[in-house]
Amino acid sequence: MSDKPDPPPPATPNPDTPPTEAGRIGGALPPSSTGLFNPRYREVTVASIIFGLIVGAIMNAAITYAGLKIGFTIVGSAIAAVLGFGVLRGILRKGTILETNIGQTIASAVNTPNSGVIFTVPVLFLLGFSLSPTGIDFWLITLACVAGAILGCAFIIPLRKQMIDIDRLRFPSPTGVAVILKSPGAGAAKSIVLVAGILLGALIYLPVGAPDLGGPGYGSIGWTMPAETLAEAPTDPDASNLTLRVDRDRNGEPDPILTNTSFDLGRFLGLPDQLQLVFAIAPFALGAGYITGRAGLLVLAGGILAYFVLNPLVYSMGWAPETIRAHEAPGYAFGAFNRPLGIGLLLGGALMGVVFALPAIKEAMKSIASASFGARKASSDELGLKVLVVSVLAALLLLFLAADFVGNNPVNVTDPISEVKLTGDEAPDDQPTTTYKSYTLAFAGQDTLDQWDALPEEEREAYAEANNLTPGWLSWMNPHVRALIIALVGAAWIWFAGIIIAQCAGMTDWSPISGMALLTVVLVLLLSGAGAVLGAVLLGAALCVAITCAADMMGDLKTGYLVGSQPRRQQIVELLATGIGPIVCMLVLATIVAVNMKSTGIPIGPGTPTVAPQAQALEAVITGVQGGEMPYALYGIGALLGALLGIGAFPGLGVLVGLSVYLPFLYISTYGIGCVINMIVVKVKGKRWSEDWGVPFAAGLVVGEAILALIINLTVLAIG
Amino acid sequence: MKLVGFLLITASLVLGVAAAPTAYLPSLDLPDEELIGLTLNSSAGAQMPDPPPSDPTAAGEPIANQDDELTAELLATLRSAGVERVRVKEFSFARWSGKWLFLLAVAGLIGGAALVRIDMRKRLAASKEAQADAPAAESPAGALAAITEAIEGLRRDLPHMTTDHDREAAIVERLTEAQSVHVPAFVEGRERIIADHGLGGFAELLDRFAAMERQINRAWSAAADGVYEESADCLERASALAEETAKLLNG
Repeated sequence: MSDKPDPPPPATPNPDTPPTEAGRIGGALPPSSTGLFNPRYREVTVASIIFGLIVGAIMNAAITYAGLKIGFTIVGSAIAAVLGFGVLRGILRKGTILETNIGQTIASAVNTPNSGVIFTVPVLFLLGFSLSPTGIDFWLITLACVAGAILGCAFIIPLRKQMIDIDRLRFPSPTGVAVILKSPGAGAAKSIVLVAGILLGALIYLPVGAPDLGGPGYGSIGWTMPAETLAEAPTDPDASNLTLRVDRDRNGEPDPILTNTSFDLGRFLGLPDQLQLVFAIAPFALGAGYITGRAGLLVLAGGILAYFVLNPLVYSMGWAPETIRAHEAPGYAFGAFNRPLGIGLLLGGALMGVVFALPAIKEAMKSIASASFGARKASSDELGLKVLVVSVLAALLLLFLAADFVGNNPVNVTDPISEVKLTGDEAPDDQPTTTYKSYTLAFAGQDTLDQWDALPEEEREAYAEANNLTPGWLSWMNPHVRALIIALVGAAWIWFAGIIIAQCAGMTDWSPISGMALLTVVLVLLLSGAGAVLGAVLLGAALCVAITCAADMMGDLKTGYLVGSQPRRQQIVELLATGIGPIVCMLVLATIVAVNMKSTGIPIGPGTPTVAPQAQALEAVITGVQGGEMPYALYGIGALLGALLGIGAFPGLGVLVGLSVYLPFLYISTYGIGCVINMIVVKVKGKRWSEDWGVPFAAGLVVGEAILALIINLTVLAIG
Repeated sequence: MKLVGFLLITASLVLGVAAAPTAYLPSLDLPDEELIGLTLNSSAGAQMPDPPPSDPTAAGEPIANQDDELTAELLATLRSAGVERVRVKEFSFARWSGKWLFLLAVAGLIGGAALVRIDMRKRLAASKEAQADAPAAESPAGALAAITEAIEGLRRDLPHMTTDHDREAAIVERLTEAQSVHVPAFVEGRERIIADHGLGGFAELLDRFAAMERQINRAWSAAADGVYEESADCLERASALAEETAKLLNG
């Protein structure tokens, strides 16, 4: 360990520091220190590593629980940055800006993989599979996720130069984190503005999160629709006497305009029911919108296109089923049209973005190659290609092993003949297998296998049809070759999807992780066959973890860029720490499942406190693929529109529009308010003022909500 | 021209998005042979149950459910109930009633993109001509010169200051100005740089510029943390990188 023995406890330039000889200015150019530990300026230290690992694991547990409960995760980097100040600078009295940055980098590397896990793995419980730390499947999935995390980080590193140095994407939250990190040196006034933002963000969010702890929320204010009774009373005494306009859920009470989480301006203004002008009470969205600024208005425009043009059109043209009522139309249109079109737009937009970015990518790769092998090797600030190649190959090997193992695993959990359960404690030890339609089937014993062999082909066909054992695109191949191709295609997909997520996060702060998770599992199901759910979810989980880690890595590198951290050091600590995340998350998931089983008899999902909304969406997609319900043409149509949008104004336009078509409008609307406020502030006070004072305040709003949400989740997790 | 291009892109996008859903919504005006055998992906039609529900706002029961296969009888029932379209699982380009609108939207997007690109080129050419007349600080070269001056000014002045505290304060103050004013000004001139150097040249130049900016950012952080030696070394490296950037910009 090469830390400086007694570094000063700086917050502003230190008046007590002794002068150095003529300021060391001039003379030969000093080489950049490229070791992991910098002896002069605290960056990677034992304190920052321990801090990052502990805080990352705690955040991972709390956010895993929250994600399974509410369906989305919260920003971890900003929380870690604020905690870093408290611990490294406040308690230990020796943290620097860059050391705190490394601490938050490690913490978010440990925390982030949970998004990829909780959007995918719980679907196995919903589909009747059982997983526990005592079984091999549990650790196989965990291993695949660890491989995914490393692969995601390694793949995105070569794109750092293109996205951050050359394209200079904004990355609102990472920019906010940099503002937090720099606040001690930026002066007391800016720190006060930051703290004011944090306090206001927490204050606004308090009534949103308090109901989870049994406290009052915004809904307690009781702002409801004015009562409007039916002209004719219903004959059924249990039916509501109110009109559908004011009582949609037919509970006999006027619906609230202000709920615990949102404000329905559309209902307040009396807009037609199919137009849902709703604002989420979400300071983080407001802050992220402010930091994004005018560019974020494109997201708002896309949301208006989806929710105020397409969805009302679907309703008014009679394209929704007649049984769908006006207020249900947006929800129906979202699932049927918005989501596939939006994801298609994202894909097409991102593809065009890659095409237009090729010169920049080429230049970035050239620069990295030069730093790895060429003239700038000695002073390289970037992790060399050799390390990246080794990381990618190692992760690819793990992916192949996982795909190969699972590909040859039986796909059935009960005996096809006797219906005896083949998993769990009472499962028979010896389970003979056979292959049918390229799927491996297990049996409770040789006798049932013999009976299967003796069945007429029509009956076996019927079993296959009932269990969705349709062949995939690669089913005709040798299983090992198939596993290799799936691993390679998966790796290519990680690269592409990682770019999409990083671009989205870079331009808007939103990451369509769940959408990419859905597509990933669909891709694997198409390749391996619709019946290979365990394999598809295993690989899907690995790829989703990879994608989330790629986006997180890029965000952390953006923060590092803004505070002057050396990319190489951040890359090394992130690559080393990120594999811990999936292990923590899987163990927390197993704990939650065990508790649920004890209290409700259901592992996860409806009927438990952790309803796992995203896993339910994935379950619907899996059954959709099995039932032939996927609207592939809409994905294609969206992709074409997204690609064409990219050739006009700027390559990322398709990504922005796609993202907004795909996201729920209530968050887009709040985000849009933030963008508009930024434009007004820039107009009135100027751009410099907006950056100097507005951005710290907006960063505070993002952090305030995140910190309070984490505290509430930890409390709920602790007290059950 | 740019405005027309953007309006065309917006209108085409709206048209394309509006035409898309009909890909899976065949009209029941189509002949039976094109519809029989298709599988419903949503329920279709509505009828009041017998006896009718007590709640007058009830939406009724669907005539056909998701996963039902369209048959001649079902089609007749749906048509007689006034159903015009149904959502099915199968896609067919021939059945897609909105395909011509969609193709029109595609043409509009291409046309709009062409107009925007032509306008962009014209503006770049005009800005190139005007570059010579523009105030130095507004051009990328002017912004880079200002950044370089901030770095060189510090390198000149720091040795004459008496304490590291003064030096650190000077670094934070002057680099803050460079970070918040001159760096954004340089980046805002990206269109001019691309026009002059091409995308590859722009990427190479920005690679060096970003390396310089990161050294400036590191110098700022180190000064704010009171680690003057690190900050001074970063300034040295930033100076060399600024020189490299200037060579590329002027080369």
